[in-house]
Amino acid sequence: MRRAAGLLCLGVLLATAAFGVEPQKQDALVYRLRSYTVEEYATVYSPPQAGTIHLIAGVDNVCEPRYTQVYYWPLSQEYFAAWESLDVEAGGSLEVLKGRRVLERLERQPVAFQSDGAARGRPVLEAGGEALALFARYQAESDRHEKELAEYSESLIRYRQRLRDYMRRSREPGAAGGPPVEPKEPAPLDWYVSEPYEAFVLNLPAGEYRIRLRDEQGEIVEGSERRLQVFAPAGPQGVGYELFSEARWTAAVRSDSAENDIYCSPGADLYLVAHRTEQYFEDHYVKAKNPQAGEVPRRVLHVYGEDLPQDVLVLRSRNDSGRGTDRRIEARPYYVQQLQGADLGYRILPWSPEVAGKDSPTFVGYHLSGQELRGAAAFEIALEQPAAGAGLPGSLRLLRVGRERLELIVWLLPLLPLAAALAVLMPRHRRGGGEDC
Amino acid sequence: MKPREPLGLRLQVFWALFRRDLGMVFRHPAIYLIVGLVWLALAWFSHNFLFSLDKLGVSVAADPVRIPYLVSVMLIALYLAVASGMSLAQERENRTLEVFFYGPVTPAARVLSLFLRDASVFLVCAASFLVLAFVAGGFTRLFPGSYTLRSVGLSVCLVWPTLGLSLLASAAVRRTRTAVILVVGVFLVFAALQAAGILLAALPAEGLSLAALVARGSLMALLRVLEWLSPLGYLAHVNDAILASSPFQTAAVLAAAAGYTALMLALATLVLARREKGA
Repeated sequence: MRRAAGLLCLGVLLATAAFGVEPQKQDALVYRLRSYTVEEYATVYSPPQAGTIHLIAGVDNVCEPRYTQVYYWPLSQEYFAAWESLDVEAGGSLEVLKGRRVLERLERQPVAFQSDGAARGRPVLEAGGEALALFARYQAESDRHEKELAEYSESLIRYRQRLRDYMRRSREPGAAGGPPVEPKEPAPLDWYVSEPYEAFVLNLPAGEYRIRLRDEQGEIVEGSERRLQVFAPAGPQGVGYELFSEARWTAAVRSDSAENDIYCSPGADLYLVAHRTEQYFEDHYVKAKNPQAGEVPRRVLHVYGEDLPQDVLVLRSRNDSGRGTDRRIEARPYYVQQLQGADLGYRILPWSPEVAGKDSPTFVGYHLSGQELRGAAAFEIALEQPAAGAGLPGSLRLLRVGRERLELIVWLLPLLPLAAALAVLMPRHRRGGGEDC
Repeated sequence: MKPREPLGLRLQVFWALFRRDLGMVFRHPAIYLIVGLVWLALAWFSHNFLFSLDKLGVSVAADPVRIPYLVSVMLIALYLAVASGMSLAQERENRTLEVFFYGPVTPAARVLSLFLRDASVFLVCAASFLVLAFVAGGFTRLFPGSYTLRSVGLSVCLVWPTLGLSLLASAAVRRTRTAVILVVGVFLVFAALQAAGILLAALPAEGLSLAALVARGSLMALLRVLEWLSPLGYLAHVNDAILASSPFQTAAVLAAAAGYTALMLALATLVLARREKGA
């Protein structure tokens, strides 16, 4: 009997350990948002407990109210939605209120997102008829690409057959004709459009608002009201640079603003990728990505957006005698090759189909050769728009070329104060001490 | 009760005391040793920066001299804390204070002249750092930027709470050795609390149990209060205020530092006056 009770206890303990403690779930209306964050349209959930929703002003954001179950997860101190147990659309129209006044009453419309595979562009959201048209265009393009791929695989089979025939014939005496031409693989489809779905599109100027859902009977849906903080950029748009050397291209460093000087070692080849940046206060921005984020300090954050491959980089040497000559460098596509064998590392090559095969360029950027950077102690770099012939605001940086090693004299400088001490104290010591004490 | 001296004479006495105290600092090897250490710190950081630049190929820095300056501030502040802590206790031990107070010197004048001496010594050390940074920049190409210049400006004021607290400790004890132990002990406690705060903030919440999370939250709240009581907290604010680039935040920190210092100096004067009256 005692043994059976022990086994029962052990079974209960093992079952508890295996299945864990199920968190307590409750039904709630959760806003599923696709929040514009400059870099992307981030998927964000706003359960009733999360408080204020934060969105960037003057851009389209997608809002989709849904019924689900929420539970509290104490380890991360956040509420999570259990979509797998309940996921039902909350019907009705969305009201946007400023104070007590209803500012807008929004209806659902189809939305679709486009993403690029090549140089990183601005994330694209299309709404309404444009979303449907964009998706139809993508589907047509996708169908055409699939057809091309099918034709390619068929022609590849035919090519291999012909190649075998040619090899066999070439061994026979008096064989005529050249080898068959290999079919060209179609270019990959480097863009994607998500399937359109129905949602509300919010595009509001900066300010404080409230949103709520009104059902088909004209009643306000219980638990649907949220506070909405729409925030504007904290400063003008600028330019940020991602910089890396050939050996460490995976560990890029960033220069966010003109305050961040760039230092490079003499002789090192340098690659730069320029991005459009936007400034936001960190507390607002972080909450636009996660409404349940805890305390966030208020400081300016530079958010990296689309690449700027169409501009020209001006490299201006700065010598002691003043400014030197300007050199204009155009952005080019590059391909990063991982070195094989014992020499682990990377090699950055100008992109071409011969080098990269069917691979797309790894990045589009500017190359500053180490040889060139040996020419001066410091340079100024800036982006210039070829069409306008003017510099791009916020793109100016100071690039300093560091020394290879610390010169001995810098190590000797700390001895100067000790020498001064000897000079001051020795005569006093010889005279027999101080007269002040 | 001692008759109140005319203002002109009091200022003359104050000026004479200040000059004498300052002269004594520069006739002692400790200050030269500290400046040498500060310069060595700069050379070491410059060496490390150039070494890592050589390895990485590229680096981005708002101001490569800012970190060595902040380390130097801590070194100078520690030296001045000990020097301030020893000052009044040493004079009491040597019975110099009694001689002062027989003359036209008041406890307030004594406390203020020592405070002004140490604040001036800090200014000289900070200026020497800047001079060296520009000279060394000629060899390393790592020049001080606007962050370092702003740090120098702010630290000159934010070191005051350290000096004020040390003078209070010095006024409160009889022996020099006790004063040094007290000052170093108090600063070690504050430094340990600050380090605990940094460690707690760095701990990821995901790995902690609910009880540990609650304990961490309570301790962090306590440390936030202690930050304004610790003179080291004010020195740490040099960095925060500059990174925040907010004039309001900078003004608030400066005002708090001035208030803290005024309170410490007033308490030091009061304690000194009571002790001397008792003696």
